[in-house]
Amino acid sequence: MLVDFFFTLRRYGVKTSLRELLDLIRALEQQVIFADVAAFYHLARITLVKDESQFDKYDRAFASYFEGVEAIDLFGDTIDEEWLRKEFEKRLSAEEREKLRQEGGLDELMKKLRERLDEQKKRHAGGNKWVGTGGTSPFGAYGDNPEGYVSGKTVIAAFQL
Amino acid sequence: MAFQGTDSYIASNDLQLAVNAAITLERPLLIKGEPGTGKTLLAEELAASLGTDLIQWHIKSTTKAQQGLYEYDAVSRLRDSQLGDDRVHDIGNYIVKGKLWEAFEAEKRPVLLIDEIDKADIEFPNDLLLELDKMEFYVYETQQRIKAAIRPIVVITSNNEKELPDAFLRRCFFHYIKFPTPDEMRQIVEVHFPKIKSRLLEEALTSFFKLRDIPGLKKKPSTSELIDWLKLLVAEDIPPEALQDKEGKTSIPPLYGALLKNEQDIHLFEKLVFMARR
Repeated sequence: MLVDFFFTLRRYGVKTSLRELLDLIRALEQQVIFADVAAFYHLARITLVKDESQFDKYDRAFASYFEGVEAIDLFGDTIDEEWLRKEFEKRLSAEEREKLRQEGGLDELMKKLRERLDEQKKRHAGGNKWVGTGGTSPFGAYGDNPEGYVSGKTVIAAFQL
Repeated sequence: MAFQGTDSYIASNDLQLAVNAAITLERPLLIKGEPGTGKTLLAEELAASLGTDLIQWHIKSTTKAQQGLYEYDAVSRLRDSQLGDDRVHDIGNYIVKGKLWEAFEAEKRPVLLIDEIDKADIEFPNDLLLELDKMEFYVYETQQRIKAAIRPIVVITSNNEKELPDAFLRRCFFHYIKFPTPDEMRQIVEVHFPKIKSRLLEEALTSFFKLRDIPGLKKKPSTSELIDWLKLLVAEDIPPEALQDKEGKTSIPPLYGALLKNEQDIHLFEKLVFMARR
């Protein structure tokens, strides 16, 4: 139990020992926490890491072990989507806004973007349909549109209406 | 018995988890953090919320591990022997109990605070390894073994002045108290001053966090300094306007002596304000 997690920590240079792993397992057994990843993150840190200068290494190891479970929010509140949207709409000119309305609004366009991202699994450059770089499709980076759309992590999609 | 902070102490969720894990698994809890973030207070509030005794052992640079267990008072014995006192025949009369012994004998599970363990010699934590692990020790003079009936809740604080030995750290749970965010700070202040004018609080916190952002300060003001400063502001009845920046220029907050404790810091601060005004 948790042996892989333990060795992932050690691979990332967190100095932790068997004794501490046993403590963690004992804590889980006694149900100090139950089925809560955020609490597990803290509990494992309390028991396994004894120096605040090692917290960074621990965070990296934890993220790599729980890849895909990155829903844990280590940085407080995420950016409010409503706010992002308002900020984006503010940057459009009046006629662009009109065009956006004809296309079915921002929601519709974002839905298309999401659909296309689902369809496309490979990296893509040029062309006129897929999301990628240097193309003419409504989505993608470094395209013909001067404005960029930033969402989630670092996806920059140039918007062309 | 889960700890959730008290009416006068705001504990973050991860701190509560650390405390409860330490209580459940009977491990000492090592608390680190900037001075003034409420490390010592945690033990006091924990004892109060559990309704149990707090046994405090404050560590100095001269403290030895043995003093926490017991001391043999040879001088009193010598004097008693010269005066022909009968007590002299029993060495047990001259064994003075230390804080650890006191904690081991308590009837209700007490909170034992070992405050500022980093002040002592590097060997100090190592000398306590077995005692904290097994919660027992041996008195050579009287040949008795003292064992804790109930393992006390041990809270250890450190200001990070010295590295602690690995073997010691492995036996503890560790929590680092982060400096509170402005939101948490607002809660903390409200707990201490329920009736503080909210505008004054707003302005005071803005000045305070700005002051903390000045690069190169030797000792950044912390929560306890903020609370002292607010006490002064309230006592002097300073209007919120006095704390506001005038036309975006930096102004010296009144009574800033409560926030900055270092001569060089005050000079640096005054210089910066002077430059900003020009």
